[in-house]
Amino acid sequence: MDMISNLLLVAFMGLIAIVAGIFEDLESDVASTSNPNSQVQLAPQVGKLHKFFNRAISGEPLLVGCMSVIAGSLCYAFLSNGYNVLFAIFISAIIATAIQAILSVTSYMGRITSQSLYNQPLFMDMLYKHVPVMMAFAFVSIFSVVLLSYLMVYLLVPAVNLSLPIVTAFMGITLGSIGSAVGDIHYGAEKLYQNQEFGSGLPVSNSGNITRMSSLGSNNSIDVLHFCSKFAGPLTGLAFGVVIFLSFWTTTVFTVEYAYIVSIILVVLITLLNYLLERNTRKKYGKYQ
Amino acid sequence: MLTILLLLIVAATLIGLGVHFIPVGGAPAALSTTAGIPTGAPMITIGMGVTGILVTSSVIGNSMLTVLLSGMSASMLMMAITMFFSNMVHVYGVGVNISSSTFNEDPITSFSQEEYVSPGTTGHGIPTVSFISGLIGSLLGGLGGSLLYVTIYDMLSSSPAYVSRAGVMAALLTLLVFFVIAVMSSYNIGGTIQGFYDKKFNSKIKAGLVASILTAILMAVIYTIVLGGLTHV
Repeated sequence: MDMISNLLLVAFMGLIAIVAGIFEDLESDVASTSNPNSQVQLAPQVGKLHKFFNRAISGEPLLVGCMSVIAGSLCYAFLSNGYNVLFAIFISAIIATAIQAILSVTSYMGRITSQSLYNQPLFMDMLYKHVPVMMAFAFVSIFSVVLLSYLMVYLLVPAVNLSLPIVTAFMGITLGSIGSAVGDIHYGAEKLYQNQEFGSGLPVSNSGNITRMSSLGSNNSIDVLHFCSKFAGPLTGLAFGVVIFLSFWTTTVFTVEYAYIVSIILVVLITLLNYLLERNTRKKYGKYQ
Repeated sequence: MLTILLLLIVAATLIGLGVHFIPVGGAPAALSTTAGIPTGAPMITIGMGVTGILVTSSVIGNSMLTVLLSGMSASMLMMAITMFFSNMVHVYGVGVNISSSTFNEDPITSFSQEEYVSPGTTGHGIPTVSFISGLIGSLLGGLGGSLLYVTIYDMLSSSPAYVSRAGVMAALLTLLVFFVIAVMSSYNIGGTIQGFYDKKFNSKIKAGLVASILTAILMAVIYTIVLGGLTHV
């Protein structure tokens, strides 16, 4: 019985992780956080003025880790004072979201004004439109990370031998590094360069020549959000969910002595899947023409 | 105390070596301009290390070998899943073949590379040989991370004052080593690398090994002083 309840809990953790992953990646797209932001930053310098949000507070893992640890520490303080769990997580996520919003606004204004040398204007409607959307996505992602960490620290058997703020920091860093390594490609290589032919990657000579027009009016970061929510966002969520689910599934179902053997078998299986993906792509797409 | 110093040096050196094996593409890889994992070397190393520390901390108390192997396998699992999903976005989202022009032929799958790379770019995604290299990197990094965690945890939990806090303190101190070593190694790599089969690897690994050992000695000496001071008051 203990194992079944634990297994249900691990499945629930995987589900929460999927939600956290989806929303984290989409938040990074709408606020243009990670590696692809280098192109948004570069565009005015090559004469392409744009209407994208431009924010790069730090690397994505560090930003998400920092926001999560703020929420986690606040939640820990609320819980120590005897507040209700959901209330504590809710309030701490809201406060962390507010801090992230302040950083986003100052970062956007600072970065755009530093580009006034290239005549890039600062659009106030960008702030009014994008910051609330960014906050909504950041809230869901931070809430999910803190809830996930709470489950690991207080409900899972055997629990993680760490305190809540540390686990939220770790979860945030892992989530950020997965979001940065998986989700950003769709934004950087595809959405920013839809004026290029599909299936060609980005030649270095075209750097900065980003797509600035949408089907109706200027291309903005809400369009990016709409585009990325169809594929990269859900896939990032799935990646994070699978990492969390498999890491804890092995230690729940098998004893600790065998869990790592199962993990290594899973790694071999994923390597084989990757080989099949590479082989089938070559067959289907063929050589570059 | 000398054993702890040596264990810390070995652990930090393993992490430093591991970072060099990870195929890193940085920002250009996120634009499908070059092959590799599309994020900075420190970012993916820290993400991988953290997953290892988390699992290590939940199995601590078992035999040393089990704990080390658990941390190592967790890091490998995280790395494998991240690289696989990254390739999936490349294939289905961007529509490119997985290939790299840093070598003519993949030695494991014997797939030729050059014809599949788009002109003006140096590759897309993570080919099988780089994938295996990434797994070796995460194996070394995960092993180093969990060894570091276990060493610091054992040292701290031997003192009655820190028994209840040993796990948290060991996790934080291990995370800090990941930050230092990952940044040092990434500076040595200087841009992108496609794992052990890349020509760049041979020229970078010697300096990387020496720098890893030196950084490891520095970190180990500082940590031994800090831990010794904490536990022998």
